[in-house]
Amino acid sequence: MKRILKALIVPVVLVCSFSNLKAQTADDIIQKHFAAIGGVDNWKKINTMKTTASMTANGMEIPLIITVQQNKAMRMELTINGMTGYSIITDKTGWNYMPFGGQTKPEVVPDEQVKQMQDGLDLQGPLVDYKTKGNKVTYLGKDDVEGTDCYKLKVVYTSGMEETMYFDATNYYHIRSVQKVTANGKEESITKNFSNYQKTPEGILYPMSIDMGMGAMNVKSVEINKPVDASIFKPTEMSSSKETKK
Amino acid sequence: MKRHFILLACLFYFGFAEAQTKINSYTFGAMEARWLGPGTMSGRITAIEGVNADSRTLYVGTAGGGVWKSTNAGASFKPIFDKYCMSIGAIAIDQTNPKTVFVGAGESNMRNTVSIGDGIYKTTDGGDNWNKTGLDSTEHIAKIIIDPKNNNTIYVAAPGPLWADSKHRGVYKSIDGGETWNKIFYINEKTGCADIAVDPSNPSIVYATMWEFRRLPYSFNSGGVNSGMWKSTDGGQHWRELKEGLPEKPYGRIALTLAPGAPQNMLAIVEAKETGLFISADGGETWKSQSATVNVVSRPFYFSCLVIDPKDPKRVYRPGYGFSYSDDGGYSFTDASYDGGWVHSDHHALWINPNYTNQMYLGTDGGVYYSLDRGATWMFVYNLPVGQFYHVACDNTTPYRMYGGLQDNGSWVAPSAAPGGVNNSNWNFLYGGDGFWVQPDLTDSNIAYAESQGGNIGRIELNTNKSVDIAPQAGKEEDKLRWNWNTPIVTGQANHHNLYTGAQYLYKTNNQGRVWQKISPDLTTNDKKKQQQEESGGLSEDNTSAENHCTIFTIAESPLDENRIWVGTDDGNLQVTTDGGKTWTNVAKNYTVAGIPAQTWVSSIEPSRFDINTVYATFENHMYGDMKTYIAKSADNGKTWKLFTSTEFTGYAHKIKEDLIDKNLLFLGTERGMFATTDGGENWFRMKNHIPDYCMVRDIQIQPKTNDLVIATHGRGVMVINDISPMRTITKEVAEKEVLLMESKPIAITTGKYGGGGSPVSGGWLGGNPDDIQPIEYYLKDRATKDVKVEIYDATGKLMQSIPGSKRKGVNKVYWNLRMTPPKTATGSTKMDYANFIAPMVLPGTYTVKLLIGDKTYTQQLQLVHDKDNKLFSEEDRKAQYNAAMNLYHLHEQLATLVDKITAEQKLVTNNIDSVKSAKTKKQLKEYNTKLEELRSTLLATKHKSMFADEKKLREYISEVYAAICGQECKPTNLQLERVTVLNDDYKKGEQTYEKLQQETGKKLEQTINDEKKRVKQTAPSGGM
Repeated sequence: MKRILKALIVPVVLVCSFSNLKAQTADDIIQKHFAAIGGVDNWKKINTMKTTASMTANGMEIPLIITVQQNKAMRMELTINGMTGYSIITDKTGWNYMPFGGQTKPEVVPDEQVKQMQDGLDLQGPLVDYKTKGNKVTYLGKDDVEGTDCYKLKVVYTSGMEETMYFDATNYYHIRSVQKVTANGKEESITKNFSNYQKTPEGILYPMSIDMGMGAMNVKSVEINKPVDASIFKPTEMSSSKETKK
Repeated sequence: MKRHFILLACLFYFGFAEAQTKINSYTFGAMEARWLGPGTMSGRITAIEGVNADSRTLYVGTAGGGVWKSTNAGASFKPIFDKYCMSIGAIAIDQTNPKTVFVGAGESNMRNTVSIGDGIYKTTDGGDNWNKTGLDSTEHIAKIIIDPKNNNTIYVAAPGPLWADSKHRGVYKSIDGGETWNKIFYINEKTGCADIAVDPSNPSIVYATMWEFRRLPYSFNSGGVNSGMWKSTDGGQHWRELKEGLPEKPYGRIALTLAPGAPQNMLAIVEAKETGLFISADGGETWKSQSATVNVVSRPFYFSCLVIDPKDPKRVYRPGYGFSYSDDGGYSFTDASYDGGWVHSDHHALWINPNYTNQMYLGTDGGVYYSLDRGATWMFVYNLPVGQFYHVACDNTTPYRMYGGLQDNGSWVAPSAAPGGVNNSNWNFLYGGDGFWVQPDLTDSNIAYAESQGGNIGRIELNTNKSVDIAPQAGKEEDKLRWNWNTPIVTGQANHHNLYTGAQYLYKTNNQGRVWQKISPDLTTNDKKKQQQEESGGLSEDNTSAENHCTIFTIAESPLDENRIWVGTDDGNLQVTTDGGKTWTNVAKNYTVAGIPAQTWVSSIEPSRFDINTVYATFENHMYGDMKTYIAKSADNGKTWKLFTSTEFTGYAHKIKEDLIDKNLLFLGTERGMFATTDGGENWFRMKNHIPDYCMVRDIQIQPKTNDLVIATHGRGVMVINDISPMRTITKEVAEKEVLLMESKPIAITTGKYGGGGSPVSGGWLGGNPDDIQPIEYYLKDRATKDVKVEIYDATGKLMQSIPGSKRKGVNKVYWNLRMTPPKTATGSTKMDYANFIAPMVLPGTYTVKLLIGDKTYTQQLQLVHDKDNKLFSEEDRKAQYNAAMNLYHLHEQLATLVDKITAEQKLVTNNIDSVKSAKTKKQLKEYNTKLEELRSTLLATKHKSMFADEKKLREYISEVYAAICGQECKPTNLQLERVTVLNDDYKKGEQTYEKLQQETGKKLEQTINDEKKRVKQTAPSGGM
């Protein structure tokens, strides 16, 4: 009997001890995360990305197109009632044109904001080759996101921006980010939740739902490494089809 | 062998436990507390520190609300310590690396209600993440100083536990940036460190003041021969007592400070037989007594703050009972002016901006004030909702009102909902002093009862705020009445006409306090040794009723029988009568059998509303140094008791509340958290539903009409969890389901009652509103990884709206505005048409809710009914509104189609005008385009972009009346209906104009273009051989 018990107990105890001993490190988590979302090599290949998505407000669907050229430029445009507005951030500057409230021409984004948003130009994310990029990553232990067990990493970008990333402890998907930005000299936090990971033809898993608190952005398609016309990263007024043709 | 069996059993147990879904606060995921605050009166502030480098980053420590951070000099604050202890003693910022901040948990203003801390915490990222680094058992921390020349060296003044002897007190030092700590100065188990100072020019010089003190439930002692002032010149390795010029011992608490710019200059307030202010000009070696104002030397155990201006060694500040300042190094003092407004008394913290010393922040018992003129006048910071409520009550009005009393901030009332959200201005002051119990008269909505400390009870007429003193008085040959600091005033649960209060006797009135009946003998132990309050205080006499003892502390009438009344006292008695007070039984001995110590405070009693013999009670023994959580149930009228235990419990217990519907649902509030059980007490969980993990929860109520859980916190104001019904629905069995789309009660169709939230008025606090419209709720066993959406269909199967769903574990809420999908409105304008976001309200009827998660669908029926509460809007009115709205809805869509057609014709022109050869055709095309544009410009705004240019054409006119009709709960007016006809006619005219133009011109031109294209094609040379 004793032997039987020992046979039962010892492996269980060993497994428990082993899992306790094997503490997680930031690199472990990053490695498992990339293994879960298509492999770091596939992510490293990404050079351009065009995301077609939509958001819903009061039952009305608002289409969005986000185009990014790796470390060069990003354009996010949205169309409401036939009018299109956009935000552009490049490696040098940025513009906003949101005609919906009566804005009549593109406005320059203040440098402080441009600098913070430029971190988003890295399509591959801050964790790919983070050491080479100069990003600092710290493992902050386990935490939970609304009851879901997560590993928590803090990333300090070379720009100084801080982002806390939460990885679902069961599948290593990145499910939440909290970015700390400074606006008018004052700290603000932006929380994004990621879900509905789907595999693209390029082999990466991409979150098709990104919730930024104001409602979820549902991604309809992700085109990777398709040629991007560089002229879209320059501001043009395009409040309506009529206007541009006059 | 036996051990192996135990181990095996444990493994099986844990394996089994793992398989079951645990009910915890995440089960009720989206049921998050609203923080009502308010910021109106705020609460006790214990520490304020600012970042010298930017002058606008502030950390504010509070007595019961954790740490709040501002990065804009106080324009707004955020709580940054909500996972940790709420009682804060001290904060220190490493000014050489200001993202590193230390927080010492456990306030050191040793009043009767002071809470306890659990150690020292460190952040290196400005408060996003914290690590506790030690000193767990010190309970109170008075000051933290970081060596200005070596930020790895940190000193901590720990007075240590208030209620018991302890070795965990004295001066602590870290030399590794706070990672480890050594006690470097200790006297004995009764004497801790009250204050420290480090000479910034030579940080090896450290000063410490030691303090002998102790509280008992019925007295306070500040003072002893071990108190004194000490100096070390080698960073705390050796200490020498400073005596010269100081008064004769014993001492009490000593506040000490030095001039940062001239650190040989020091000031100290020494509590002694005659408390005085002392000045030293030689680094504390010799002291001179100075004359001092009453404010400078008053209540030294509670006012320990003394600050010298960072630049001007002659400018001294004494925040105390009031605010005093000196321009001559402390020889004379002036009190701050009340120009610009009163400053709350009782000051505990001051931060002076070293870059601009006119600017300073003051922490008081009533929040933070700031001054821009060196403390002469002050402005209040209205955005810190850290009030310390003792109790809360609700009435039955709609919206219901919440009543409560706070530490040093009187008693207040506010509605639970208000237009634009409940904000500071919705809170009305009811009664002065320290506030505790406030009871609305449930039989008269214009009356409430409130009190100030020590049983001064008033009946208040709410519409005039006039009050009448109704406190019972001692009768002939009766002992002096003994009123608790926090005297109970309680309305009968079975008979709302009954109002009770208690000194050592229980009193009852059923006519609003006009006639009182004494319905008990002395229900306390009447232990005379515990009734020497006039000698309380120690060196400084301090007898404010805070130490009154052998008093009644809690009263509860059974909801099932008005003659069954329970009374608990602060000295351990638990008494019950079943005959309205004729006879009483003390069951105190019975609860001790269950493991609850004798003579604990009986902090709350909850007779069950489901069984006459069942009663719950909480007991708290912290004043004897025992911080355990005691909560027990008796099912036999108090004869036997079962103690509830849980590894989740933290903090001494203040309140047990039984649900109104589900007898297995219980709530518990303690000094360190809010807990609940859904299985009658077998399993408890910490409620983290937007409630700080270790929130001090003093009282809990459930509003019967709304099922709101209303929580009085002692440091975070009032919190409300709207509609706790899901806590009744989700049983263990239900929680095992992967997904549950919950059945919904019929929803009354409304645009909402009070409007949304938005930002508070400048510098205020906004507590929001309950959900205007009952949300659609679903339960997810685990966080959804697939797409989630909710679709609503009418009875014909037509999709009304598709709404993205949240994905969190537990209860999720989706908000349908009870409207259709907005119309497609005409595009191509210079402006956005807001009708694009407006849809008509749907009609009453049966709707189908589909919850789509990935490829799975869950369905429920939903009844929508007319809102009968709205007497100004009949069902007939609703139909008329719907018909008019739908007419305009279709008109918008028709117009959109017409404009699309025109635009398509114009595209035909612009696509071909350059390629056509014939000059005549070119001209015709141009003319056609001009006519089309003329028509288009009558249909929608095409010229002006500016938001200040109000260009209105048909689309905008339709939107104007469409938005008006859709947005209100009212039958359309006659002129609105006439306008619908006019707009339809205008549309028809436009449509006819277009059709005529297109038929007569467009078709021909199209033919011409096509013909020309054909000709070109025919004459073009064929490509290649």
